Amino acid sequence: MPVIESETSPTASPVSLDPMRGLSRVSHLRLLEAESLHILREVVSEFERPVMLYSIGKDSSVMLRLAQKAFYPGPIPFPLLHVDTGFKFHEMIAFRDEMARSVGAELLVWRNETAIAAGTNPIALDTKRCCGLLKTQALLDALKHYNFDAAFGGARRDEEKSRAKERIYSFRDSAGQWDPKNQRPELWNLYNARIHPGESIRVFPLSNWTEMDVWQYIHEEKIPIVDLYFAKERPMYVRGDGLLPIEQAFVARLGEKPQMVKSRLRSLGCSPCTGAICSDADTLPKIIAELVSFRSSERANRVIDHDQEGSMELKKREGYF
Amino acid sequence: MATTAISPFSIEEFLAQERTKDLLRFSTAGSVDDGKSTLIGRLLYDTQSVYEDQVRSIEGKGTTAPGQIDFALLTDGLRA
Repeated sequence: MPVIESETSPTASPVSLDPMRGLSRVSHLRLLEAESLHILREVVSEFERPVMLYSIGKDSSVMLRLAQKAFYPGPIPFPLLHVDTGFKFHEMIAFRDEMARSVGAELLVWRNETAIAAGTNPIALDTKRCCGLLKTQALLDALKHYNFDAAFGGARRDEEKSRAKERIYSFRDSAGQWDPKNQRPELWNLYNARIHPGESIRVFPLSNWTEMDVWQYIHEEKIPIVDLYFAKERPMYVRGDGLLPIEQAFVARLGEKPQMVKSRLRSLGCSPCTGAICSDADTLPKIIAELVSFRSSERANRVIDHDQEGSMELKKREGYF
Repeated sequence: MATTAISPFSIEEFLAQERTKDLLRFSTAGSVDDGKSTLIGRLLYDTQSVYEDQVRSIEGKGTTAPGQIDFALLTDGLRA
């Protein structure tokens, strides 16, 4: 704390410039947690059919823990929805089923079976069309099928510039589409939940968290996460600076041989479009220490963010999370 | 000038230090093109809160003089 000591008047006591002096300090993680719990409860009290998009990644894991806390000792009052592209890592699918069972939540899985049966993949098509069919279309179909009017997502403002100014309550028209220029003001913690029939909102309780906050919270709360986040020897295709996990046979180039590399994933997505990083971080403290040293963002190795200029914004407009 | 030895990174010290942090809510108010986003972008940049690939993606774009970063683009990611 900055303290001014008076030289001229020896009797004056030191003056603290800190307005919070004497008040108990709450750590930033607890403040973020309190804000997220408030958002979860607001949505449940204001909407008829909320759902939580559960993508199995670290942000979803935090969001799920917050949902448990927000309604404890009651059960989580909404189902979890996983949009499965068929290209998720098998460890993710096993983890998903185990988590849903252990927290006692209802798990809905939705797949665009028509597109999957037609052999949709990011190499046969391009990544943009593949995401459009397997993620965006599947999500819109699922929301419509179940008639959900509010869907929680784990997106954060620090992730990507098209998410930087996203609202906590993000409005979607009756076609599920996002118009960034037609969103509502959010003053302090007041959220306007009025919608017309057929419209819906996406809700982002983790908007104000950073990647570092998420990892520290996982560490403090001992939240289970998929093993792919921890470094170990894994077979990878090495392409320049990039590491591509071997999960789907079609990603291999002619004559390409996998190598064992001590590596981990920083962000979980579909295996053909998610690069791994070389890493020795096999514990949470090591992951946090590694994060301090990082100079690139976690989405730098996600192919789908870079398939064209403004690609995340375009995907979001169409209805992607 | 005294030199201070750089101690190796200690995760316990780092986490203990993080626990003493609270949140800063920062608001800007102003008219269109007054520089609200530029100010926030500059603060993010100066506090090392943005990654190199995020800075690289906005270099050479925007409305600033050549060689200067248009900090507003760090949060104004929308095409329209």
